[in-house]
Amino acid sequence: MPRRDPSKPAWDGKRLTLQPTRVGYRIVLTMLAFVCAFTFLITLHDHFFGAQNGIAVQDHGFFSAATLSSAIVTMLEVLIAGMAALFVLQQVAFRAMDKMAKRVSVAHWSDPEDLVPTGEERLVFPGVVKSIFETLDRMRQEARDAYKQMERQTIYTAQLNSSLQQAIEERSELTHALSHDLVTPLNSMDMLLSEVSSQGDALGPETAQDLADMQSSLDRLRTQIDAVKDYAFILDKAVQFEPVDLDALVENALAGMALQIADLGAEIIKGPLGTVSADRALLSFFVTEALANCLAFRDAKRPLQITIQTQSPPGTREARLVIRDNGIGIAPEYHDRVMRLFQRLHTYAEVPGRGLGLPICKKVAERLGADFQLHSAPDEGTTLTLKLKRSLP
Amino acid sequence: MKPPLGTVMVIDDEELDQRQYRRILSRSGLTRDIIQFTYADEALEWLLSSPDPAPDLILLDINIPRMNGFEFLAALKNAVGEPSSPVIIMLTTSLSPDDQARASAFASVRGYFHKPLTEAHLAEAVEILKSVSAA
Repeated sequence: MPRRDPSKPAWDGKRLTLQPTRVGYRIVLTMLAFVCAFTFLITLHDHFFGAQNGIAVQDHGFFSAATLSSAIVTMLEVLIAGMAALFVLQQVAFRAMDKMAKRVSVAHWSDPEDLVPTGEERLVFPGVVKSIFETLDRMRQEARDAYKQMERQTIYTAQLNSSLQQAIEERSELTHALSHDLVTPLNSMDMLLSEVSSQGDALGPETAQDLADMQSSLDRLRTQIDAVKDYAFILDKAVQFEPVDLDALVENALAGMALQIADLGAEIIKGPLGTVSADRALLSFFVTEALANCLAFRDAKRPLQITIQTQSPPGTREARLVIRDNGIGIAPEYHDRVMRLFQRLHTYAEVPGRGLGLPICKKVAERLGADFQLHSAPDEGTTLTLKLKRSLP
Repeated sequence: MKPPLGTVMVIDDEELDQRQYRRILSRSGLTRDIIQFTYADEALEWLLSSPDPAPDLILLDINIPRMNGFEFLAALKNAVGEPSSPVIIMLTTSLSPDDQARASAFASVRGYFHKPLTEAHLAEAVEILKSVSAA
């Protein structure tokens, strides 16, 4: 069977001209009218001329009850016959509709031949059948287009998934390269540098200064490589939610900074924090970076004070981890910039750092699916809020 | 006679690099004065205060805290337009095509030097300054 051109409607209007059906209807209707008129005329004829033709008809007068009742009976007969005919036609129409519905049901939408009306359908739905079939054809076409689109989308998604997988693997390799291949020559340079530096006074003060600068540059390179490794770890880590003792986690982070905290004479105010549901490694990064920022961006004008607490609105599982300092703060126009990788507001000489503190906090929040907010203004200090959930008992 | 590079302003946030710039520039004998800034907004403020001597050449780093190199260019253009002096040369660690396109939108940017700064770069700067003053 030759396939139909799908761009054209399934039903060719010319082939299915409705002319003969309409003529048929007209003939039936005209005949009904003739029968009706003829019967009525016979009745009248009987009334006026019955006697002259030798038929024994009593003269009841033109408007007599007998004449009128006879006419009414005739008309009722015609009406009943008409209704009976309509009833039969309706039954035929219902049957045809039923058949049509089955034929063009979704199960058959792919066969274009199903969307050509049969002779019976043309007979019973002369006026509407064309538009019904055209609409069905259009719907079928749309469904087919949508299906094709979905198919393309599925293929595209599959391709995307595989390239994403590849990208993740490649990034993993890159991280490995960073942690090994870049650090190896760095270590060699470090050793050579200490070898040269060990010659001490023989070098002269200027060369000694240059060597010291080289050493600090090397140390910084090592720090930056570590920063990239940390960030890559945060990006790639498979997130595992578990109950995390926030008090222990914060104490641990503070212990790592104990020397600096003591040197600065910083005051730490830590409320009971409780247990939250989070990924321990990721949350640990958040806390460490947030606290390191508090120390780094302290205000020389006043003693550093760091407040760490959790806030839980009553009746909820929410636990907002709030880390607040009274440091130099960040002007609102820089709030976007400080969230971007390696963006700094101070020279390295003024505030040494990796340029990754807030980007790490933001990325951890993103990976935990937790809301993260920065509130900060110059001279007022900075407040970081991470909206976590208490772990279920 | 005025040294070929005249007064040179260097804007770069790295103190170690600044120290090295000063050494290379002084050693070359091509400069009269060297003015150094680690923040671009401070450099801009100084430039707008009609300094004497005004710089003939600005070596401008792109990635600087607070106001970066591009923001500096935009602010300078906004304040004084794009006069032929000072000539601006961008210092970059890695020049991306995007950065190059962004910088080329400024008529005052006449060149790009890949870090680290070398004596060859200074010779190139002399040629650039010559061609600008000849034009």
